[in-house]
Amino acid sequence: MSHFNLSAEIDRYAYTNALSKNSPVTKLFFALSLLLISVLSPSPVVPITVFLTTTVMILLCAKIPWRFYLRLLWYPTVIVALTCVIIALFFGYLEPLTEVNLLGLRWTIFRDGVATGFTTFFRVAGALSSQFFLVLTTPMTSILLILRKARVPKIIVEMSLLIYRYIFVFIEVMETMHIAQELRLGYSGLLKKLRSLSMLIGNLFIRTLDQGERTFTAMSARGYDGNIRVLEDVPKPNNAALAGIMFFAVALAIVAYLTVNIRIV
Amino acid sequence: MHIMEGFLPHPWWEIWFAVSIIVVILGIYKLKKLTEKFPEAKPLLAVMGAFVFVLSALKLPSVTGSCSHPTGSGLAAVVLGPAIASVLSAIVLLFQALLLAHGGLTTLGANIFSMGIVGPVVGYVLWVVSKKARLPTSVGVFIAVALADLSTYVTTSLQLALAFPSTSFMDSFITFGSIFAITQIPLAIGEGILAIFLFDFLVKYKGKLLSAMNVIGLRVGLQSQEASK
Amino acid sequence: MLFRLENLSHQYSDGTIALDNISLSFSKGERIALLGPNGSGKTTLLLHLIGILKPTSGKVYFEDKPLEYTPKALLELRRRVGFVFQDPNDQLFAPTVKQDVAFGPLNLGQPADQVRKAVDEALKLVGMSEYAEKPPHFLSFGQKKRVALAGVLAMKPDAIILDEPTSNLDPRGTSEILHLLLRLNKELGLTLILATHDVDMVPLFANKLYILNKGKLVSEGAPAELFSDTELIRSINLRSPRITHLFEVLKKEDKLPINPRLPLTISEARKEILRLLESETGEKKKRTRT
Repeated sequence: MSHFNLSAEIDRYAYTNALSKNSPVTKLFFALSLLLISVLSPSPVVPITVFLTTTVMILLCAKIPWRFYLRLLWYPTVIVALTCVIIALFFGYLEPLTEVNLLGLRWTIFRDGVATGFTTFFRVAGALSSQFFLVLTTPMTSILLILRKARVPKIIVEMSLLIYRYIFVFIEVMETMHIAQELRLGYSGLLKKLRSLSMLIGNLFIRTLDQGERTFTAMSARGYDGNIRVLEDVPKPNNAALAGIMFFAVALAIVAYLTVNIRIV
Repeated sequence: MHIMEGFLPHPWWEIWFAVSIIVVILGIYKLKKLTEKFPEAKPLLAVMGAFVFVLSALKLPSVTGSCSHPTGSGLAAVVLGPAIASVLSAIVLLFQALLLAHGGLTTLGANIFSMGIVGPVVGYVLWVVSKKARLPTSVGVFIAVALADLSTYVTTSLQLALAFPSTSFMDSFITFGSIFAITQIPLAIGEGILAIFLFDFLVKYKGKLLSAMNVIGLRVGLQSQEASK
Repeated sequence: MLFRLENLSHQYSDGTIALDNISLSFSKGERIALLGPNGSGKTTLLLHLIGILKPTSGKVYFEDKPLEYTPKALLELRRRVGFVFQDPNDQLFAPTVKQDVAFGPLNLGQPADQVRKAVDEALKLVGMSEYAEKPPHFLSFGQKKRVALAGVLAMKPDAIILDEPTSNLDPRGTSEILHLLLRLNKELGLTLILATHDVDMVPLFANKLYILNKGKLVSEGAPAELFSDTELIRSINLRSPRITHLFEVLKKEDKLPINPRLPLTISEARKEILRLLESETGEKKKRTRT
């Protein structure tokens, strides 16, 4: 019924994948630089390269099962593909490419519309796979520590670490309640489904408010005074690796510059 | 209404980042002052953020069969005011991008703008107006939350239309808007109804703390509730 | 005296009287159990000891001084007296086990090196060292409970309060926690105060027992004394330990010559059975001789 499993599985792979022990700073640097280059590149050549690189890294280096990676890609791909088809069909006006018969209507498709559709699709592919590389290889706890080191406002980091922890507490609560309802046939029929779902949400909400108070009590018992202090233990990044990534990123940037005028259609 | 990672071309994602960051910084400032005064607010706001995340991981049955879910930002704005709602949305959107692949990192700015700023501001303004007009609380909550949702989706359509202009900006805006309308209008109504119940729980269980926290939105609500008794 | 409660009463804002005129005292080094059915006020009482709740009337004394409710005094009190909550999900809020255990010591303002050492030691004590970098949602309930205990141990307290430490644990988890607690009491001299409704666990753990019901202190004394008053135990919806119940039936229904002080634990029961068997064979021998 939900994406609960998805979040839990992404999170589990982040801690158990073959690259999990590598420096989180290196992985973050790698993912973010490829992400930025994909998004900034005007031609589809660079995003396609990025997509292939990160996919290889995810499957071969981090050893994420390809079935899971495909499942992760599936939903965004369908949505983006649909949207890009719409862009390709409706959004051009400069240079007619072809005409089709659509339900008896003659419809002109323009070259620039199709080009935008393709460029967008590949840009998303490159950017999304870079993002997946980050979340599948880097534990959220390390990301939060890096945020703190990077001088992101303290309150943001504190809220984030609390939210991260309670997401998983509530997912567990939600799953238990959902199973309990399902056993009593609460999900047979659309109306019953909606009613059960709103009861579930209501119960979880009460539980949420309760949890806020109990967590505060428990934190107070250990001397909480409004500040959440943490030990800062981020493994040092490997300079050679950082330099390698930098080199790759610059090379991609040059390719992006050289391929500005290359078009698919 | 999350715009996916990489979907917005340069320079649009940067522009929305720049716009959003100003509001979020204001929110951070307000949030900091609030939690300094009320240490218990930190865990409470955090669990509410986690709640919104879990809610968004729930697939609601929708007309097109595609996956849509409530944003929660309307209710957050009614209860906490738009500035703090924007910070909370920003964090939740980051987690949605990372753990659900809903939205993305470069599109975070655009998504914060539509879901964490426009939605909450619209919701909050409507809430205050409906209180001034002495509408019943449940009607006020419904209007605020449902229209916060709708304004979010209109904003997203606008962001996409700006980034992908067709023959004209309007053409493109109408195209995106009518595609999203299929799922977003029923969803806005659904979330509005849900919010009425959740608001009730909130006042019942945490009314004291929230009105002590001096969050204007809720104070307006509590006063009018007491007056109606 | 570590703690002394003087005519302590607590009324919640909704009007429920959770504690009604309770006076008692806990000595250092003891293993104290508060026994009572659900809703008897055990947790409320415990929360008063570390100043989370303030009495509606009456007083709480820590080392013969009345509790002060200033942030500084409370921080010192909470350093010396740790509190382990019933649901470890309430207590574990940090993204990793290590970060969570470090929270208390960091709040005391200790330098990072010292905190790291304290964290390592505490995790070792509860046998969770290998999980230091894991997020709590990867752990089982029993493991979470042990991490919660480590979070308190890392603050190097003199006393630990535990609310239902064995609830929801499987038999093995229960016995592990129990042995760990006994070891902490014996080796580190920690005073342990726990609330429970697990009657089978009480005689194994406590040397001092308090029975609460509906916010009132019903009885106090050594576990053996209190459990022999079976009428009282039943009247407040608790029961005797299973093993005690068995011997009660053997005595009442089968008229076996069992000691008036009924055994509470397996080892006590074993002694009693051996005694019975010995006297039985002794009598047989007597009979054959005559």
